[in-house]
Amino acid sequence: MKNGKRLVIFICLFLALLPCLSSGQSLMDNEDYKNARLYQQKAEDSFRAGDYDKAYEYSELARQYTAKARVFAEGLRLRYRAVNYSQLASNRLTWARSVGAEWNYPNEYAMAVKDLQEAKRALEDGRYEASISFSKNVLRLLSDVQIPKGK
Amino acid sequence: MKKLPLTFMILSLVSLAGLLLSCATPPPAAPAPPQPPAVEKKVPPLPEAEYAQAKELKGKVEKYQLGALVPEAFQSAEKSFQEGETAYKQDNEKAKSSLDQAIAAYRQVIEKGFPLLADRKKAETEAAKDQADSIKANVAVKEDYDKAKALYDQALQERKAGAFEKALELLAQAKDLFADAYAKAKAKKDLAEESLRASQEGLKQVEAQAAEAEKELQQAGTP
Repeated sequence: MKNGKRLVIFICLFLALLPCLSSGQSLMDNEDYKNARLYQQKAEDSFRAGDYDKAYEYSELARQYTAKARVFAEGLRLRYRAVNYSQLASNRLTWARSVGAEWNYPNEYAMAVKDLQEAKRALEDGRYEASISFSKNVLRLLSDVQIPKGK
Repeated sequence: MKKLPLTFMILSLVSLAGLLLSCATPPPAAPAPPQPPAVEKKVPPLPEAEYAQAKELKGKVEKYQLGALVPEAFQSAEKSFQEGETAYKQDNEKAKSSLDQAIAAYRQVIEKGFPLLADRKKAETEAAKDQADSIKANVAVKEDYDKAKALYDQALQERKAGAFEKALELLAQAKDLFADAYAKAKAKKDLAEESLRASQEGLKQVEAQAAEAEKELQQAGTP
Protein backbone atom coordinates (compact mmCIF):
# COMPACT_ATOMS: atom_id res chain seq x y z
CA MET A 1 0.00 0.00 0.00
CA LYS A 2 2.84 2.26 0.90
CA ASN A 3 4.49 1.44 -2.39
CA GLY A 4 1.26 2.18 -4.21
CA LYS A 5 1.00 5.63 -2.71
CA ARG A 6 4.59 6.30 -3.56
CA LEU A 7 3.99 5.21 -7.10
CA VAL A 8 0.97 7.44 -7.50
CA ILE A 9 2.92 10.40 -6.18
CA PHE A 10 5.80 9.52 -8.45
CA ILE A 11 3.58 9.26 -11.50
CA CYS A 12 1.85 12.53 -10.67
CA LEU A 13 5.17 14.26 -10.30
CA PHE A 14 6.39 12.74 -13.51
CA LEU A 15 3.34 13.88 -15.42
CA ALA A 16 3.69 17.34 -13.92
CA LEU A 17 7.28 17.38 -15.04
CA LEU A 18 6.51 16.44 -18.64
CA PRO A 19 5.64 19.93 -19.90
CA CYS A 20 8.81 21.23 -18.24
CA LEU A 21 10.83 18.68 -20.12
CA SER A 22 9.59 19.99 -23.41
CA SER A 23 9.11 23.68 -22.68
CA GLY A 24 11.79 26.01 -24.03
CA GLN A 25 13.16 23.18 -26.11
CA SER A 26 11.57 24.02 -29.44
CA LEU A 27 13.87 24.27 -32.41
CA MET A 28 12.43 27.71 -33.10
CA ASP A 29 13.85 28.87 -29.77
CA ASN A 30 17.26 27.44 -30.39
CA GLU A 31 19.89 30.15 -30.87
CA ASP A 32 21.88 28.14 -33.38
CA TYR A 33 18.81 27.54 -35.46
CA LYS A 34 17.86 31.21 -35.25
CA ASN A 35 21.35 32.22 -36.36
CA ALA A 36 21.26 29.70 -39.16
CA ARG A 37 17.99 31.20 -40.37
CA LEU A 38 19.33 34.72 -40.02
CA TYR A 39 22.46 34.05 -42.06
CA GLN A 40 20.52 32.05 -44.59
CA GLN A 41 18.30 35.05 -45.16
CA LYS A 42 21.31 37.35 -45.42
CA ALA A 43 22.90 34.97 -47.89
CA GLU A 44 19.78 34.93 -50.05
CA ASP A 45 19.53 38.72 -49.98
CA SER A 46 23.19 39.10 -50.93
CA PHE A 47 22.80 36.55 -53.68
CA ARG A 48 19.84 38.41 -55.15
CA ALA A 49 21.86 41.64 -55.03
CA GLY A 50 24.72 39.99 -56.92
CA ASP A 51 27.13 40.05 -54.00
CA TYR A 52 28.12 36.42 -54.37
CA ASP A 53 31.12 36.66 -52.07
CA LYS A 54 28.92 37.83 -49.22
CA ALA A 55 26.28 35.28 -50.16
CA TYR A 56 28.88 32.53 -49.92
CA GLU A 57 30.23 33.86 -46.65
CA TYR A 58 26.75 34.06 -45.09
CA SER A 59 25.62 30.70 -46.36
CA GLU A 60 28.75 29.10 -44.93
CA LEU A 61 27.92 30.67 -41.59
CA ALA A 62 24.36 29.40 -41.97
CA ARG A 63 25.75 25.93 -42.58
CA GLN A 64 27.91 26.09 -39.48
CA TYR A 65 24.95 27.13 -37.33
CA THR A 66 22.75 24.55 -39.02
CA ALA A 67 25.24 21.84 -38.07
CA LYS A 68 24.96 22.93 -34.44
CA ALA A 69 21.19 23.11 -34.71
CA ARG A 70 21.19 19.60 -36.12
CA VAL A 71 22.96 18.32 -33.02
CA PHE A 72 20.31 20.07 -30.98
CA ALA A 73 17.47 18.63 -33.10
CA GLU A 74 18.91 15.14 -32.82
CA GLY A 75 19.13 15.55 -29.05
CA LEU A 76 15.63 16.92 -28.99
CA ARG A 77 14.29 13.94 -30.83
CA LEU A 78 16.06 11.53 -28.52
CA ARG A 79 14.83 13.48 -25.54
CA TYR A 80 11.25 13.44 -26.75
CA ARG A 81 11.51 9.78 -27.50
CA ALA A 82 12.73 9.19 -23.99
CA VAL A 83 9.81 11.22 -22.69
CA ASN A 84 7.47 9.25 -24.86
CA TYR A 85 8.78 5.92 -23.62
CA SER A 86 8.67 7.11 -20.03
CA GLN A 87 5.07 8.10 -20.52
CA LEU A 88 4.30 4.75 -22.07
CA ALA A 89 6.00 2.95 -19.21
CA SER A 90 4.23 5.10 -16.67
CA ASN A 91 0.85 4.46 -18.25
CA ARG A 92 1.51 0.76 -18.30
CA LEU A 93 2.54 0.73 -14.68
CA THR A 94 -0.58 2.66 -13.69
CA TRP A 95 -2.70 0.21 -15.56
CA ALA A 96 -0.83 -2.79 -14.07
CA ARG A 97 -1.37 -1.42 -10.62
CA SER A 98 -5.05 -0.91 -11.36
CA VAL A 99 -5.38 -4.60 -12.23
CA GLY A 100 -3.53 -5.79 -9.12
CA ALA A 101 -0.16 -6.52 -10.64
CA GLU A 102 1.38 -5.42 -7.35
CA TRP A 103 0.07 -8.66 -5.86
CA ASN A 104 -0.31 -10.89 -8.84
CA TYR A 105 3.07 -10.09 -10.38
CA PRO A 106 5.02 -8.77 -7.39
CA ASN A 107 8.54 -9.33 -8.76
CA GLU A 108 7.82 -7.88 -12.16
CA TYR A 109 5.90 -5.05 -10.65
CA ALA A 110 8.68 -4.18 -8.17
CA MET A 111 11.29 -4.26 -10.91
CA ALA A 112 9.10 -2.16 -13.14
CA VAL A 113 8.71 0.47 -10.42
CA LYS A 114 12.44 0.53 -9.93
CA ASP A 115 13.16 0.79 -13.65
CA LEU A 116 10.65 3.55 -14.10
CA GLN A 117 12.43 5.50 -11.39
CA GLU A 118 15.71 4.89 -13.16
CA ALA A 119 14.14 5.98 -16.42
CA LYS A 120 13.00 9.22 -14.83
CA ARG A 121 16.38 9.85 -13.24
CA ALA A 122 18.15 9.21 -16.51
CA LEU A 123 15.73 11.51 -18.30
CA GLU A 124 16.46 14.28 -15.84
CA ASP A 125 20.17 13.72 -16.22
CA GLY A 126 19.95 13.93 -19.99
CA ARG A 127 20.88 10.28 -20.44
CA TYR A 128 18.12 9.76 -22.94
CA GLU A 129 19.22 6.47 -24.40
CA ALA A 130 19.53 4.97 -20.92
CA SER A 131 16.12 6.37 -20.04
CA ILE A 132 14.61 4.78 -23.12
CA SER A 133 16.23 1.51 -22.21
CA PHE A 134 14.78 1.57 -18.65
CA SER A 135 11.35 2.51 -19.96
CA LYS A 136 11.45 -0.36 -22.41
CA ASN A 137 12.34 -2.66 -19.52
CA VAL A 138 9.20 -1.51 -17.71
CA LEU A 139 7.09 -2.29 -20.75
CA ARG A 140 8.72 -5.69 -21.14
CA LEU A 141 8.34 -6.58 -17.45
CA LEU A 142 4.68 -5.72 -17.47
CA SER A 143 3.93 -7.16 -20.88
CA ASP A 144 2.57 -10.40 -19.37
CA VAL A 145 0.33 -8.69 -16.83
CA GLN A 146 -3.25 -9.58 -17.48
CA ILE A 147 -6.54 -8.64 -15.99
CA PRO A 148 -7.30 -11.31 -13.39
CA LYS A 149 -10.09 -13.63 -14.41
CA GLY A 150 -13.42 -12.84 -12.85
CA LYS A 151 -12.75 -9.06 -12.71
CA MET B 1 59.33 120.54 -178.16
CA LYS B 2 56.00 120.45 -176.70
CA LYS B 3 56.03 121.54 -173.06
CA LEU B 4 54.54 118.88 -170.71
CA PRO B 5 52.03 120.17 -168.35
CA LEU B 6 53.25 120.67 -164.79
CA THR B 7 50.54 118.55 -163.26
CA PHE B 8 51.46 115.61 -165.44
CA MET B 9 55.07 115.93 -164.38
CA ILE B 10 54.26 115.94 -160.68
CA LEU B 11 52.06 112.89 -160.98
CA SER B 12 54.74 111.08 -162.89
CA LEU B 13 57.31 111.85 -160.28
CA VAL B 14 55.05 110.62 -157.51
CA SER B 15 54.34 107.40 -159.39
CA LEU B 16 58.00 106.92 -160.03
CA ALA B 17 58.78 107.36 -156.40
CA GLY B 18 56.08 104.88 -155.48
CA LEU B 19 57.47 102.44 -157.96
CA LEU B 20 60.92 102.84 -156.63
CA LEU B 21 59.74 102.28 -153.09
CA SER B 22 57.78 99.15 -154.01
CA CYS B 23 60.69 97.62 -155.81
CA ALA B 24 63.17 98.19 -153.05
CA THR B 25 64.82 95.12 -151.43
CA PRO B 26 63.07 94.04 -148.23
CA PRO B 27 64.76 94.83 -144.99
CA PRO B 28 66.74 92.06 -143.48
CA ALA B 29 64.50 89.59 -141.62
CA ALA B 30 64.50 89.61 -137.87
CA PRO B 31 66.58 86.79 -136.39
CA ALA B 32 64.51 83.64 -135.73
CA PRO B 33 63.95 82.73 -132.10
CA PRO B 34 66.37 80.14 -130.91
CA GLN B 35 65.03 76.66 -131.33
CA PRO B 36 64.98 74.56 -128.08
CA PRO B 37 67.56 71.91 -128.14
CA ALA B 38 66.15 68.65 -129.35
CA VAL B 39 65.54 66.37 -126.28
CA GLU B 40 64.34 62.83 -125.88
CA LYS B 41 60.62 62.25 -125.01
CA LYS B 42 60.17 62.69 -121.19
CA VAL B 43 59.44 59.44 -119.22
CA PRO B 44 56.80 59.88 -116.48
CA PRO B 45 58.33 59.42 -113.03
CA LEU B 46 57.82 56.23 -111.06
CA PRO B 47 54.68 56.74 -108.88
CA GLU B 48 56.45 55.62 -105.73
CA ALA B 49 54.43 57.79 -103.36
CA GLU B 50 51.14 56.60 -104.83
CA TYR B 51 52.25 53.00 -104.63
CA ALA B 52 53.29 53.37 -101.01
CA GLN B 53 50.05 55.10 -100.09
CA ALA B 54 47.91 52.53 -101.90
CA LYS B 55 49.75 49.74 -100.12
CA GLU B 56 49.25 51.42 -96.78
CA LEU B 57 45.53 51.86 -97.37
CA LYS B 58 45.21 48.31 -98.65
CA GLY B 59 46.97 47.08 -95.52
CA LYS B 60 44.54 48.95 -93.31
CA VAL B 61 41.54 47.61 -95.22
CA GLU B 62 42.87 44.08 -94.89
CA LYS B 63 43.79 44.49 -91.23
CA TYR B 64 40.25 45.45 -90.31
CA GLN B 65 38.65 43.25 -92.99
CA LEU B 66 36.69 46.15 -94.31
CA GLY B 67 36.41 44.68 -97.80
CA ALA B 68 33.49 42.49 -96.92
CA LEU B 69 31.63 45.49 -95.56
CA VAL B 70 32.02 47.60 -98.73
CA PRO B 71 32.47 44.92 -101.37
CA GLU B 72 31.98 46.94 -104.56
CA ALA B 73 34.45 49.66 -103.69
CA PHE B 74 36.83 47.06 -102.38
CA GLN B 75 36.77 45.03 -105.57
CA SER B 76 37.32 48.16 -107.59
CA ALA B 77 40.23 49.15 -105.35
CA GLU B 78 41.80 45.72 -105.65
CA LYS B 79 41.46 45.74 -109.41
CA SER B 80 43.02 49.17 -109.74
CA PHE B 81 45.77 48.26 -107.33
CA GLN B 82 46.61 45.15 -109.28
CA GLU B 83 46.65 47.10 -112.52
CA GLY B 84 48.86 49.70 -110.92
CA GLU B 85 51.27 47.10 -109.66
CA THR B 86 51.40 45.41 -113.06
CA ALA B 87 52.11 48.67 -114.84
CA TYR B 88 54.59 49.83 -112.24
CA LYS B 89 57.99 50.40 -113.88
CA GLN B 90 56.49 49.32 -117.19
CA ASP B 91 54.07 52.13 -117.85
CA ASN B 92 54.41 54.61 -115.06
CA GLU B 93 51.72 56.89 -116.38
CA LYS B 94 49.21 54.09 -116.36
CA ALA B 95 50.54 52.84 -113.01
CA LYS B 96 50.03 56.25 -111.46
CA SER B 97 46.53 56.52 -112.85
CA SER B 98 45.59 53.06 -111.57
CA LEU B 99 47.15 53.62 -108.20
CA ASP B 100 45.34 56.94 -107.85
CA GLN B 101 42.10 55.12 -108.55
CA ALA B 102 43.01 52.40 -106.06
CA ILE B 103 43.79 55.02 -103.41
CA ALA B 104 40.43 56.69 -103.95
CA ALA B 105 38.59 53.38 -103.82
CA TYR B 106 40.44 52.18 -100.71
CA ARG B 107 39.62 55.48 -99.02
CA GLN B 108 35.99 54.92 -99.87
CA VAL B 109 36.17 51.44 -98.35
CA ILE B 110 37.70 52.86 -95.20
CA GLU B 111 35.28 55.76 -94.92
CA LYS B 112 32.24 53.57 -95.34
CA GLY B 113 33.63 50.45 -93.72
CA PHE B 114 34.88 51.83 -90.41
CA PRO B 115 31.50 53.11 -89.19
CA LEU B 116 29.91 49.80 -90.15
CA LEU B 117 32.64 47.83 -88.41
CA ALA B 118 32.46 50.06 -85.35
CA ASP B 119 28.70 49.47 -85.16
CA ARG B 120 29.24 45.74 -85.40
CA LYS B 121 31.95 45.71 -82.75
CA LYS B 122 29.87 47.95 -80.54
CA ALA B 123 26.99 45.47 -80.78
CA GLU B 124 29.33 42.60 -79.88
CA THR B 125 30.67 44.52 -76.89
CA GLU B 126 27.16 45.39 -75.79
CA ALA B 127 26.23 41.71 -75.93
CA ALA B 128 29.19 40.91 -73.66
CA LYS B 129 28.15 43.74 -71.36
CA ASP B 130 24.55 42.52 -71.28
CA GLN B 131 25.76 39.05 -70.35
CA ALA B 132 27.86 40.47 -67.52
CA ASP B 133 24.90 42.59 -66.40
CA SER B 134 22.65 39.54 -66.41
CA ILE B 135 24.51 38.08 -63.44
CA LYS B 136 25.16 41.41 -61.77
CA ALA B 137 28.87 41.38 -62.47
CA ASN B 138 28.85 45.09 -61.68
CA VAL B 139 28.35 44.04 -58.04
CA ALA B 140 30.07 40.66 -57.97
CA VAL B 141 33.32 41.82 -59.61
CA LYS B 142 32.89 45.56 -59.44
CA GLU B 143 36.50 46.49 -60.16
CA ASP B 144 36.71 44.36 -63.30
CA TYR B 145 33.33 45.50 -64.50
CA ASP B 146 34.08 49.17 -63.92
CA LYS B 147 37.29 48.88 -65.89
CA ALA B 148 35.45 47.33 -68.82
CA LYS B 149 32.74 49.96 -68.63
CA ALA B 150 35.27 52.79 -68.60
CA LEU B 151 36.90 51.43 -71.76
CA TYR B 152 33.52 50.99 -73.36
CA ASP B 153 32.52 54.57 -72.62
CA GLN B 154 35.84 55.85 -73.92
CA ALA B 155 35.38 53.79 -77.09
CA LEU B 156 32.02 55.40 -77.71
CA GLN B 157 33.57 58.84 -77.35
CA GLU B 158 36.35 57.97 -79.77
CA ARG B 159 33.85 56.67 -82.24
CA LYS B 160 31.81 59.83 -81.94
CA ALA B 161 34.95 61.83 -82.64
CA GLY B 162 35.60 59.71 -85.72
CA ALA B 163 38.68 57.99 -84.29
CA PHE B 164 37.54 54.60 -85.47
CA GLU B 165 40.77 52.70 -85.07
CA LYS B 166 41.11 53.79 -81.48
CA ALA B 167 37.42 53.10 -80.91
CA LEU B 168 37.77 49.58 -82.32
CA GLU B 169 40.80 48.88 -80.18
CA LEU B 170 38.97 50.03 -77.05
CA LEU B 171 35.82 48.13 -77.95
CA ALA B 172 37.83 44.94 -78.35
CA GLN B 173 39.46 45.46 -74.95
CA ALA B 174 36.14 46.29 -73.32
CA LYS B 175 34.53 43.22 -74.84
CA ASP B 176 37.27 40.97 -73.44
CA LEU B 177 37.04 42.57 -70.02
CA PHE B 178 33.25 42.23 -69.94
CA ALA B 179 33.65 38.56 -70.86
CA ASP B 180 36.23 38.13 -68.08
CA ALA B 181 33.97 39.90 -65.61
CA TYR B 182 31.12 37.58 -66.58
CA ALA B 183 33.29 34.48 -66.17
CA LYS B 184 34.55 35.58 -62.76
CA ALA B 185 31.09 36.56 -61.57
CA LYS B 186 29.69 33.28 -62.86
CA ALA B 187 32.29 31.29 -60.91
CA LYS B 188 31.46 33.23 -57.75
CA LYS B 189 27.74 32.85 -58.38
CA ASP B 190 28.05 29.10 -58.87
CA LEU B 191 30.03 28.73 -55.66
CA ALA B 192 27.56 30.82 -53.67
CA GLU B 193 24.62 29.01 -55.26
CA GLU B 194 26.02 25.64 -54.27
CA SER B 195 26.69 26.81 -50.73
CA LEU B 196 23.21 28.33 -50.50
CA ARG B 197 21.62 25.17 -51.77
CA ALA B 198 23.54 23.10 -49.21
CA SER B 199 22.61 25.41 -46.33
CA GLN B 200 18.97 25.41 -47.41
CA GLU B 201 18.99 21.65 -47.57
CA GLY B 202 20.65 21.46 -44.15
CA LEU B 203 18.01 23.70 -42.63
CA LYS B 204 15.24 21.61 -44.15
CA GLN B 205 16.74 18.47 -42.66
CA VAL B 206 17.04 20.03 -39.23
CA GLU B 207 13.46 21.25 -39.41
CA ALA B 208 12.31 17.79 -40.44
CA GLN B 209 14.22 16.30 -37.52
CA ALA B 210 12.62 18.77 -35.14
CA ALA B 211 9.19 18.03 -36.61
CA GLU B 212 9.78 14.32 -36.02
CA ALA B 213 10.80 15.08 -32.46
CA GLU B 214 7.68 17.19 -31.91
CA LYS B 215 5.63 14.36 -33.31
CA GLU B 216 7.18 11.98 -30.81
CA LEU B 217 6.35 14.36 -28.02
CA GLN B 218 2.77 14.76 -29.17
CA GLN B 219 2.43 11.01 -29.29
CA ALA B 220 3.90 10.61 -25.84
CA GLY B 221 2.24 7.78 -24.02
CA THR B 222 0.90 6.10 -27.11
CA PRO B 223 2.56 2.98 -28.40
